Amino acid sequence: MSNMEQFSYDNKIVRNFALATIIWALVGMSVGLWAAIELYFPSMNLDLSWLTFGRIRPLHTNAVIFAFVGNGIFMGVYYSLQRLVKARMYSDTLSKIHFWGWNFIIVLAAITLPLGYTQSGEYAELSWPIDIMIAVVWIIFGINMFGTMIKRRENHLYVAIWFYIATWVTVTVLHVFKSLAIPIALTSLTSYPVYSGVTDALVQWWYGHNAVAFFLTTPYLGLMYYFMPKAANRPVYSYKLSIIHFWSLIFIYIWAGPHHLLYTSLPDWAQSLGTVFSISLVAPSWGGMLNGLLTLRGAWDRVREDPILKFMVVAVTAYGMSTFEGPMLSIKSINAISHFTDWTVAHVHIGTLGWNGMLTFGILYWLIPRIYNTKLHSVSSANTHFWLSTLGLLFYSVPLYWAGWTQSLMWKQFNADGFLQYNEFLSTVTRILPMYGMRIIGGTIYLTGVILMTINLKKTMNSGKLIENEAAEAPARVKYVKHAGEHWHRLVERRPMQMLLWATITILIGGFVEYFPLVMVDDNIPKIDSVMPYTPLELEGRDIYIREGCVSCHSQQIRPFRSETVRYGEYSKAGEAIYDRPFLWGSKRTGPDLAREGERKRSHGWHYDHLRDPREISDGSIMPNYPWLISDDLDTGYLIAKIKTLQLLGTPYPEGYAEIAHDDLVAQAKQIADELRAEKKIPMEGVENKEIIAVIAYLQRLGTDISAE
Amino acid sequence: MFKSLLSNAEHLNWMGIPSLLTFTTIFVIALVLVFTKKKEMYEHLESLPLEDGTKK
Repeated sequence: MSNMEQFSYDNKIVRNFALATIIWALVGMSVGLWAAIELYFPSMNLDLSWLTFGRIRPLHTNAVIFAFVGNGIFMGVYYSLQRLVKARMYSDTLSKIHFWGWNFIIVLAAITLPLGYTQSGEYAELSWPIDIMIAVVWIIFGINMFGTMIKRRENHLYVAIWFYIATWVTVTVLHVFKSLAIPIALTSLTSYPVYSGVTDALVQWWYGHNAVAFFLTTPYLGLMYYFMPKAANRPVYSYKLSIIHFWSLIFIYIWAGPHHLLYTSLPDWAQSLGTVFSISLVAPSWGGMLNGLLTLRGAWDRVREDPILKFMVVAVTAYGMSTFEGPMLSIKSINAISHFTDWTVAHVHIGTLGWNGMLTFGILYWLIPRIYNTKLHSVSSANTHFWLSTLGLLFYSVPLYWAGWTQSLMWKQFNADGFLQYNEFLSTVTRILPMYGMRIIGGTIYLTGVILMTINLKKTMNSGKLIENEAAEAPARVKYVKHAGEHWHRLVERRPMQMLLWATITILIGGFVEYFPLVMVDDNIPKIDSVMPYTPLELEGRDIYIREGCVSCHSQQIRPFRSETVRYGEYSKAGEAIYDRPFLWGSKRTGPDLAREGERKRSHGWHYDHLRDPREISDGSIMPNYPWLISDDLDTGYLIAKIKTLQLLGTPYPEGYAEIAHDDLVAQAKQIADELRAEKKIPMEGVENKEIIAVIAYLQRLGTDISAE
Repeated sequence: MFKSLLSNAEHLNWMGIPSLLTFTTIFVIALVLVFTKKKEMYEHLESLPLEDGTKK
């Protein structure tokens, strides 16, 4: 053809993201395995603050979500987008800035999270300067992606690109609104969110659930729509189905966040909306799953032989299982059993290890030999990896389902006399420790497979040579001319910016409908007169509680069930959390709920000894030791800045209080230290200056405002 | 279970109606779009991943 144009695809950037995907898989999963080991052998934190569960758990989640899966997304997008639009990436420079910027951010996360710098929100822990960097790099990715679409040679945008567009715009919206926080000082990594309590909870789970939806799901659906047809060498089963499930999925997903807050003090209407839309999600989700599996029609004989197709089949099946289970877990009566237990952890790992992990492995095995112009070093090793992944997934998740059901039923069990059968929370933990042990075995098997893959792919790379710039040709794009009577949607799907606009409108509807009534109608968060702001010492203690990631294991939200009110006290009210920035309701109870810890009237000495060595107080506890709380002095250098920031956000400290807050802090610390000395009958030289006094002050305050009413 | 679901629905109040109507609208629009396109266009779109323009 005379109008054929010669160009090349940038494979080097694809290779770089592939390498980062593999490296971060090894790192993120190793950290996850270590965290799992600590839950079985709590002394494995080696009494080191930076190695303790509460700090490495967010490192694990960030490393596997944003580093492993994130780089996996970019690897797949950079490979498929160029080929789908028949154009090289818009700018090689932007590609490089994107790659190095993103991975620099991950390195910063890997340093700051173990050091305890966290904003606490799940999957949104990173400190405010890193949040700004993420926004900048994400916009660079967007410019590069949309620039490539604009200079494309193919008029139509394939459905995979729709998913990439929806991913980009939604992650942008989620990241911006979730990250709205005021730093206490430009020299500090600490910040307080602009939302508090119930509102912060809603925004968190609007963000948290949609991080799952638009980081772990929609981009991977895009990758599925590209790489499954490539691997099977046949077109997608139904393009019509892909259109219907795309628009339905992105519309519904954004509403589903409140299912993380069922039976909490979030208003009922918001909980019910979350439930209804979560249940509805099963339809578009299964539309995608069926479309993926049916793409293999007529090719199932190859699935027996080809490890790549095996990975993809199990990945899509895991997606189907996970997206069936998710809506079921959103039904209030089921959520009453599952929430705060390991059932949720198992559910999440079906999605991440199965869907994200195995689809990524399949893509890597398909892609690396192609860009290196060689064959996979060992097909049998890839087959072994497939079975290790499948078995690892089962050995990981089945024990955790078992643990979740067991523990939840134990929490709710009353004896014939009407008392809790398992009054001691710890007895419900020691019962499930064997399952925690099996989880370690499952994780080890899965990680072994990843190591095997790394070796296999390294040898594959060594046997070939990277085609950095892969030659391609395609006809020049014919300027589109609108025909009379043509449907407007053809314009939309040919124009990336119009697709961006419609996708934005679609995903914004749910967020606005759920958010604005909550903040605009006072009745949704009734005030309680006796609820007061934290004292300066309690505030510092709360920030240490956040630093140590206590929220990873301890909820602060008592649901209105008899089994919870008998165990923990009066159920939690929305008005109790209005000064909580961030909210600390948690999502998992590896330890007991602490919402009314202060009401338990435990002595300061009990807390002191328990934080120093939990097993001295509670034999068999899996809580780590916190010796550094006893040895480290409390840093009050930013106290004034903290009080002023909270005042700016509306916390009613008296005018000028910031200047005298330190005096109050010292006085309260002295009072607690004196009571502690009196109780323990030892000098405890200088204990009033230690961090542990602030933590004790915070714990003793929890839940006491209501009793004062 | 269904009884429980229906009893929870009472908490939806007026918010549920525009929400479900909006979804229905988007779903119907998607359906209309899907069934008003020509077969040739779908065949072209489906083939895009399989024709990447490389010279191999």
